[in-house]
Amino acid sequence: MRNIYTIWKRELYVYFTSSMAYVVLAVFLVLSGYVFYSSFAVFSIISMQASQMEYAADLNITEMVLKPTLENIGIFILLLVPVITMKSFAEEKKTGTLELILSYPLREVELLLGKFAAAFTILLIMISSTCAYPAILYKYATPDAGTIIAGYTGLSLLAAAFIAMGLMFSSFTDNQLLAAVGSFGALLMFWLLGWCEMVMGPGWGKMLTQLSLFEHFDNFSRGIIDTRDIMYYFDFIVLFLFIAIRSLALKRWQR
Amino acid sequence: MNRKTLYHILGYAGLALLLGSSAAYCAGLFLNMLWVVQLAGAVCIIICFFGNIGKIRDYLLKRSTRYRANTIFLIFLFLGVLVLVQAISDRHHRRYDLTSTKRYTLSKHSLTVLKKVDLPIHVTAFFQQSGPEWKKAKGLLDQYAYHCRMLSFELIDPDRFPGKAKRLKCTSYDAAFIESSERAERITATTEEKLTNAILRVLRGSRKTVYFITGHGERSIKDISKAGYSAARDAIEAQNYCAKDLFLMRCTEVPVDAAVVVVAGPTAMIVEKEAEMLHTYMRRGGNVLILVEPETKTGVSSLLKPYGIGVGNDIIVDKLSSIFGTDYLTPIVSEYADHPVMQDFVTASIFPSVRSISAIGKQNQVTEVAFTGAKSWAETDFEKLRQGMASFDPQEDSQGPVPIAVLSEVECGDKDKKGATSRMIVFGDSDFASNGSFNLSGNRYLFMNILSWLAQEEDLIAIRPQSIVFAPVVLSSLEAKGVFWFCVVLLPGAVLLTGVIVLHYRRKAVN
Repeated sequence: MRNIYTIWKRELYVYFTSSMAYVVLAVFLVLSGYVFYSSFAVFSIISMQASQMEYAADLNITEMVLKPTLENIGIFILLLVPVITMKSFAEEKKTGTLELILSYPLREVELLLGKFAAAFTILLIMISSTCAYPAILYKYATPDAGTIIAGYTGLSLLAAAFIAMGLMFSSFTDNQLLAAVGSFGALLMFWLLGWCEMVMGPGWGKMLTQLSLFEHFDNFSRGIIDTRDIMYYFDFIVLFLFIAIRSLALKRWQR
Repeated sequence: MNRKTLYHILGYAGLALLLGSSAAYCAGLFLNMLWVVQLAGAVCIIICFFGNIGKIRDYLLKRSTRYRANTIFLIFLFLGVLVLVQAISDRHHRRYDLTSTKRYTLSKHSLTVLKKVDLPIHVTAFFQQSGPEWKKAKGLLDQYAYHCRMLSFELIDPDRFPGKAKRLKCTSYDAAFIESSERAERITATTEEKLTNAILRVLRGSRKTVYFITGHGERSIKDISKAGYSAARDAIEAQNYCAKDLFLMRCTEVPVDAAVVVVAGPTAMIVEKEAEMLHTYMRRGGNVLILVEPETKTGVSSLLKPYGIGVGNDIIVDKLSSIFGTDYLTPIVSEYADHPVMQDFVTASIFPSVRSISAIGKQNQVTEVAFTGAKSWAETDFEKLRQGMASFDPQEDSQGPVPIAVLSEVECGDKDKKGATSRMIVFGDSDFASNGSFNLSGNRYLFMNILSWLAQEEDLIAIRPQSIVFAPVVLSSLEAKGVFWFCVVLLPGAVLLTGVIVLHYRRKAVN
């Protein structure tokens, strides 16, 4: 545990003393802020039109503003996570520091969990900075607190899954660009799997859709917590972290 | 060319032949010649394999190869375990709806119906896959499947799979086909209410009949005007009951298939012979719903006396709790008795002009089930009321809460139905179930709950789906600009500024 904490602290220090952290966070906030503003502005216009109609119904700020904002934040995280995780092992391999670290009395799993915890902390900071949006909504209306809790829980799990995949690709290579492109491509694939049912129809298409990361996020964004979705993210994270551990173990053996 | 090079060439050629033949198979080309190509490819690879057998053996015996193979094996083993864990969690999952209105939770009514499912039911719903309704329908059907293991479903796009849509005769979007091994039903719109009712129809064998008595100026189930009962008929039929008219004067007795007999707002006298037929029906184990309008003399009072039910010659006045936009003769009723017929029913119901109905005598199980507000009263002076000068008279009028509905349960007189009871409910109003008021507040559900109880199907009494809260927000131009500046400029700007400060101090510290 102490080793994990040491790695976590070191990673965060390195990250937050480079310009990368602030640029990534600022870009993320500009994108999500714009999506939130657009959804809210559209909702305001629809509200005005609906109030003039006799039979207006199903106008819900949580569904129409918060849900699309959270879904888009998920996509922005997908785009930015490879940038955060690409350095984790690839850079250490290139500079030779990984060999040095692996020569310490440190297990691969501790090294990996330390790096995972650090990347997850960064992502949590990014996600929690968007809590300003529900706070703004509370000023004008009463969004559903349950949906907000479920949505942010889902977003955190989604981010953790992205990180696991990113770390795995970073553990495979000593080229940061390759690690970023690999994890970005794989994450994009796991997003696009959600369209399989539409393309391939029921049967295989439905099964592949179930593997999509965003398909399982849908329930969270609507305010539903299903143990099936939690287990999916858990399995996803554990599997890719396991592959990363095996990859590091192979590296240690080859040393 | 030495032997080594030849083996290599043969290996590559074999691989190319196998890949080429696979591509040709997929494209459907040269199908009858393909086996020759495949055979040639296989032979090339086998020759290459045996030619390099020594090298292959050396590679396989290397420690690094064993370690890699071990890693791959472990990964697949781990993947298998995770797939198993996921499969188990898929089968035994729990679902929590955190929305405040429980928007993604089925109503108690649907859950009650799903509990009754005892044979496999398959729902095929037809939606346009690219449309927003697809996901909504999937979410709804997911909930049904979650609560009922016997229910399975599939979503089909009728544009992509017209054959299945045609076979099931569901060619429009939003339609669904519900089938069990015994029966099948079609619905044209996949909403919770329609789906639940369709499942109910699939589950039930025969349809119970609800008779509406005619011949005394009663409300008609064919009447689509504001005063008619066509909406009530539609709701009854949706629950798989059969609603029929019954002209009692032409009958010798109430039909034997009558599950419930409804006397909805008679305006003319019910003759003795008809009253006797209703008594006989009750003795036989029948169930009767009587809705009596104020200021009518129909002889219902004498009909109800033996059941311990009294009809007040008055009209309820409620100056505090009447519906907005109407006068004080439309009380809102939200106080109900603790009785199975009103189980969990808390929704207010609205009664446009209602008279008091009370329990008299103690010979039967008689319960007053619905009451008006505490500030209301039963006005007996109709003349004053017409002049608009109604006021509470403690000598003549009864102070609220005034009972407006009473139920009575009597033991069945039929020796074959020993232990069974006959049920009767009387309301002091018939307007609440008319087309004009049927969908007001909880009226529809009150009426359907009463009917389910009378038809002796208590397990169908439940609260129906909740409505969605309409909550518009209109931003002023200044507010919208404020949101934009805060979210798109200030927040990211603050992060960048923090970065600049941190990096500046770090550089200073390093130098």
